Order: sequence, then structure tokens, then C-alpha cells
Amino acid sequence: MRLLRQEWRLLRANRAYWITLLLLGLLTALAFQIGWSRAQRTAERDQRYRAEQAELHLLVKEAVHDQSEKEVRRTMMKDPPVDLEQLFNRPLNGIEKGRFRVLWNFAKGRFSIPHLPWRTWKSPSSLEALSVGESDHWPSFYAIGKEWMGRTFSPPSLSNPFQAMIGALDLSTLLTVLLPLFVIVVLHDFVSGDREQGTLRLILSQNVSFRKLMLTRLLVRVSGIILTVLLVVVAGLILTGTDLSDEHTLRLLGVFSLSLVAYTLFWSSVAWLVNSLGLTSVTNAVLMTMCWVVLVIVLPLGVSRVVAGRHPVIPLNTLAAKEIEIRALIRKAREQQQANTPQNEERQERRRRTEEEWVNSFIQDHWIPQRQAITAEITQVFQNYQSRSDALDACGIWSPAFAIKNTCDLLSGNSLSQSIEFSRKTGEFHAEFLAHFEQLPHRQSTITVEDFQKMPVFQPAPADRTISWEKLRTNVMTLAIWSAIPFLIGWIGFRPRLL
Amino acid sequence: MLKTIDLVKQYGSHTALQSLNLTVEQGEVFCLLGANGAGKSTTINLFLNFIAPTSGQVFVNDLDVTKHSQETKQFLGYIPEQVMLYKDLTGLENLDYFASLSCRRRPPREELKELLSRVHLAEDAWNRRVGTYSKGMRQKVAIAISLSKNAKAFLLDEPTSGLDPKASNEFSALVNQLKENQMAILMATHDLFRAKESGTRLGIMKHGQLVETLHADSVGHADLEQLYLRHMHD
Repeated sequence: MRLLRQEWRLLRANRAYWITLLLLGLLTALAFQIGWSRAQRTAERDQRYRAEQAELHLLVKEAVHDQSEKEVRRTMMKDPPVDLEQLFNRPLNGIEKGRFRVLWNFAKGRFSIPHLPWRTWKSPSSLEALSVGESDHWPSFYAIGKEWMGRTFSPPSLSNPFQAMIGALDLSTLLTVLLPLFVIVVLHDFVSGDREQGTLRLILSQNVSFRKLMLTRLLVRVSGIILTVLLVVVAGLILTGTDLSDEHTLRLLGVFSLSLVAYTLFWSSVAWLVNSLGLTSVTNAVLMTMCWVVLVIVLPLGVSRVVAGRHPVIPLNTLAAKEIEIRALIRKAREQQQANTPQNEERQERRRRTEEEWVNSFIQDHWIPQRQAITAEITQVFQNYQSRSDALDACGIWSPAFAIKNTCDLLSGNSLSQSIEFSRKTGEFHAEFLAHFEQLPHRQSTITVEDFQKMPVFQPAPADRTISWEKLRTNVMTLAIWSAIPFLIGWIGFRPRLL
Repeated sequence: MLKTIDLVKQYGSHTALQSLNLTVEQGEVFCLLGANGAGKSTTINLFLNFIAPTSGQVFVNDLDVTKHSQETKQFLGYIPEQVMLYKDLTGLENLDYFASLSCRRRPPREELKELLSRVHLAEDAWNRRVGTYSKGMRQKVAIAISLSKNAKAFLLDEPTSGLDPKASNEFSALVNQLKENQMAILMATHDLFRAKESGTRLGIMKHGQLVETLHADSVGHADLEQLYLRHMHD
């Protein structure tokens, strides 16, 4: 305690240290603000969409209930028979009116029904602001419904999620990439600086354990970094209304703090190791920066490339091309079928068949195979992404940067594995939804309220409830082991060089 | 208080110190004279266990330095040639910091001020940043640091080099004060005049060996210079 107090007094006079901390605090606040505002936009979009759907649900329910089948047919493709503005009790702009008109027609249409929610959004995690990187590269919502059965991916969203390793300035990027640089600035000369300044001789002539003194100095300096980041994050969470009394959120915050401490300690032990070599401060800074380049930039990019090479995913344009190809094949088959059928026979056939039977036949012969083909492609894409995710997890031990990045992504609900899990659950629900839809009588020109109410509704679990605690444990353990190795080497070989 | 027995220090094939036998009692100032590389600073570094001896033994207060490194430092005050302190701290804060490292408790503020008074550091300098201090002022703070842990022996490495005559004179007065307080002082120096003024015994070192030991009272300034030069030219 005596040493701690003395080191704290010494640090208090170090102006450069406080300027570094101030800069770190400002950057952390900026990164948090960016992450939070983006998470907020997603949450608001989700809430707005759900509210609109709820209103529409009521509207459709009432209209279907009140109208006879004949009236429904009459109003098909026309304006809804109710005053939407009066119903919603607010003025609607042109886009909203258009959208509700389309939805209304979907509600009355033969091949589709409105659904609540007909788009499903990944619910944000309570620590969403920690990371926004991967949500840029992976869809955060999926469309559910008869019209959307082939469209699992939102096209502009699909890209290589590994690019997110050095993505936008979110908290995970700040912590993974920039935090080590701050540790380098603060700790590269924590022993060599004393030697160069000449104070080391006087320190060593005191009857105090040099290792203990230097360890205390290191911990005091590094705790400022950890506290700055934690204080800004916790203050940010409180200011943005996160419920920190919730036990689950607190546990997540605890894991985040632990990972932050472990990652910062890793870089501190690198500082400890290079300082134990007895080199100059400049050499120490160069060595630590080289470590940073290798562990934070070169290794993650290298591993990403290797993993991407071994587990290739079908690029979006290829997937889209396949979809177009399948549709073209179906169109061709249909044209060929029509061409092979004699005109007179076709007329007879048409007369013989009811319109509904033809539709059933079309769905059976063309629509379902098409859907199955595209689903197979999408399944393959999922499998490839899943294997990528697994491979990345397996490579996580090769750099502490992976571990901290993965932890932030997991806690924020934006990890690749969580996105894949969400996609998988959505896919399962989609299949259930379609199976239910297939059972509905297609002869009916509309669907009854009872049918409508029987349709399954997707309820996504909040992203922070899908966290794999096992993965978090592995990440924290990885960080702890990474920290221990350079520290122990430095501890064993620590012999201050005076001259 | 300070003792070496057959002390040898080798750096590869170069012998820096050769079978040194030396004793400094309490209340005695032993001045080590010699050219650069004679082994004066090596001897001091061995007392502080900054370097390990190749053979032989070093004792401080009858404790073997290599075996009881930390305990022996409790008895030692060290004034290097260039006393470097933390420039961003004041003289008083530096004293507070270093004194707290050695003492089991943090010395009270008044006690620290009393120490600075004892080493004759001007009061208006106490709360000034050390970056503005002269070498002599920094030396005074270093002596205060040693006094704060009740050091019984002082190791002074070229303490008067680079000091102006006034500061040098003040330093000699401080050394005499320490001598009167029964401290054992080992001082490595080139300054024959100060050695004769402050020393009790004088030792001339050459190529790592103590070639001559004499009482300061037994020799005049001019004779000492002649003796020194003769040894250097041999």
C-alpha cells in the first residue's frame, strides 16, 4: 500500500500521462457514442416497424372481419375501404400510404398474407454499443412470408464479415487496435526511463524490492488506462439508459471488464518483458510496436485470409446469379410446357381446370422446386459461414486481439456466430411458417381471421441471451494465458541494467 | 562497518578489481584516489550489489552483501556522481518519495523539512521543482534521503566533480558533519585537495589494486600530490 501511494504521487506529477489518459477517454467516448447511436437507430427502426405492423394487423383484422368475400374481391388492388389516416389517427405521407396499400393488397391476395412481424429483426443486446462492426456486414433482419420464401439474405448486407476486424471506429476496434498503442506510450519506458534519467541508481540503492516496486509502478500506470475506459463506458451506459441493475447486464459488464483488464495486462506484460531486456526506451517502443503490428494487424489479417481461403463462401453476386439462373430455367420449362401443349387441348384443359387447380399445380411443379434449389444454395452459404466462424474461434488462441474482439462482438450481440444462429433460427421459423401456409386451402380467395390468428409468430430472443458463455470463458482464459507468458519470462529474467 | 576481503571483479579477461582488502570504520572517511578505470566506482558498485563479485566477499555491518542485498542497503547512503531525481517533483516531494521507499512508514512532513534543513538546502528551494536545481542542491537532497533511513555508511562516488568551489566547500562541511555523527564514509574522488581536507585515511588505487594506504594527517597537500603522481607514472 505504501508503494502504491508513493507511485501514485509520482504519477500525479507526470503531465504526459494525464494527457494520454485524456486522449484515451475522449476516443473511448467517441467510439461509444458512434456505437450507441447506431444501435439506437437499429432499435428505433425495429420498434417503429413493429408498431406499424401492430396497427396494420388491427386494420386488416377489422376489415377482413367486417367484409364479405364479395366485397374483398371487389376491393382487391384498390384503395383500402377505410380511411387509413382516421384509423391511425395521424396524417400519413405518400410513402406510408403506398406501403399500407401494398400491405392491404397482400392481405387480400391469393398467394400471400400479412404477417406480424413479416420482417424479423435481431433484438439489440444491452451492450450493443460495444461493437457495431459485424452488423455492417451481416443482415440484422430477415423477411418472413410467402412472398419472401427465397429471400433469406438482405442483399446489400452480405459481405465478408472478417473485414470487420479492422472496421469502423467502434469500441471493440478502439480496444483491440488503439488501446495497445496507449499502453505502449505509457509503459514502454517504465524502467528504461529511470535508467536514462539517472534515477535508477538511487532507486536501487534503497532497501526495497526492485521487482515489487516496478510491478507496483506498472500496475498503477496501467490501472489508469483500465479505469479511464471503464469509467467512460459505464458512464455512457448509464447516460444512455441501460438498466445496470439487471443481473444479466451486470454479468455481461463484468465479463467486459475482465476481458479489458486481461487484454491491457497482456500489453503491460509485453512492456514488462521488453523493459527486462535492459534496452533503451526507443528500442522498447520499437519492439512493442512490432509486437502490435504482428499481433493486431498481420496475424488477424493473415488468419482471416487463410480461414477465408479454406472455407470459401459464395459471394452475393454469385448467389444472385444462381437465383436468376434458376428462375430462368423455370421460366423456360414453363414456356416449353406451354409450347408442347396443343392450343386446342390447352383451351380444353384450361376450361377443365379451375383457376385454383392451375395455381396449385404451378406451385407444386415450379415454385416449390425453385424455392428448394435456392434454399439449398443458401444452406450451403450458411454452412460455409458456420465453418468460417468455427475456424476463426479455433484460431482465436493465436492472438489476444482475436480474443478481445470476439468478446466485444459476443457481448454486443454482433458476433458472427450469433448472427449465424439468428439466421438459422429465422430459417427454421421460415420453414415452419411456410409449412403452415401450405396447409391453408388455396381455393379460398382470402384467409379468415381464424387462419390468420393461427399463423406462427417469430419471437427472436434478445441478442445478449444468445451469448455463448463457453466462448467467453475461452476468450478470457486465452487473454490470461497470453498475459502470463511474457510476464513470467520478464519476471524470471528481470535484472535491471544500470549502465 | 564497510569491509571487503580478497575482492575480485573481472569483466571477461579484464580485471577491474584485484584482491581488494578494505575496512572503513564508523566515524572514518576513507578516500579512494586513482585514475579513471582504477576500480574506485567498481568498489562502490560492489558494496551496493549493483554488480556481483567474481570472488571475495563484501560486508556492510557484518552482513554479506551478496547474500543480504536488501538488508545491507538499509545501512547504506549512496551519492552518485550525478545525482538524478524526478524533475517534475519538488525537492521535498523527491525526499518524500525516496524516503518512503526505504522506511517502513511515510516520514511526517516536518521530519522531511528538518532533514532538508540539516543538509543546508535553502528553504525557498524545498517546494521548487528539482528540474531547476544545481548539482550541489541535488546532492544535498540525496544526502537527506540517506539520512531519512538512518544510514550508517555513505558511499560517495566522485561527489565534488563539477561543483563550484563554494558548493564543493559546502559539501566538505556536510561530509565532516556526517563524520562527526559516526558515519562510515567511502568516497571515490579525483580531488586530492578535498580528500586531504575531509578524509581520515587515503587509499591510492591503480589497475584494480590498492597500492598505498595512508593517514590523511600524516601527509601534506604537496606530498600527497607527489605520491599520487609517482604511483600514476609507475
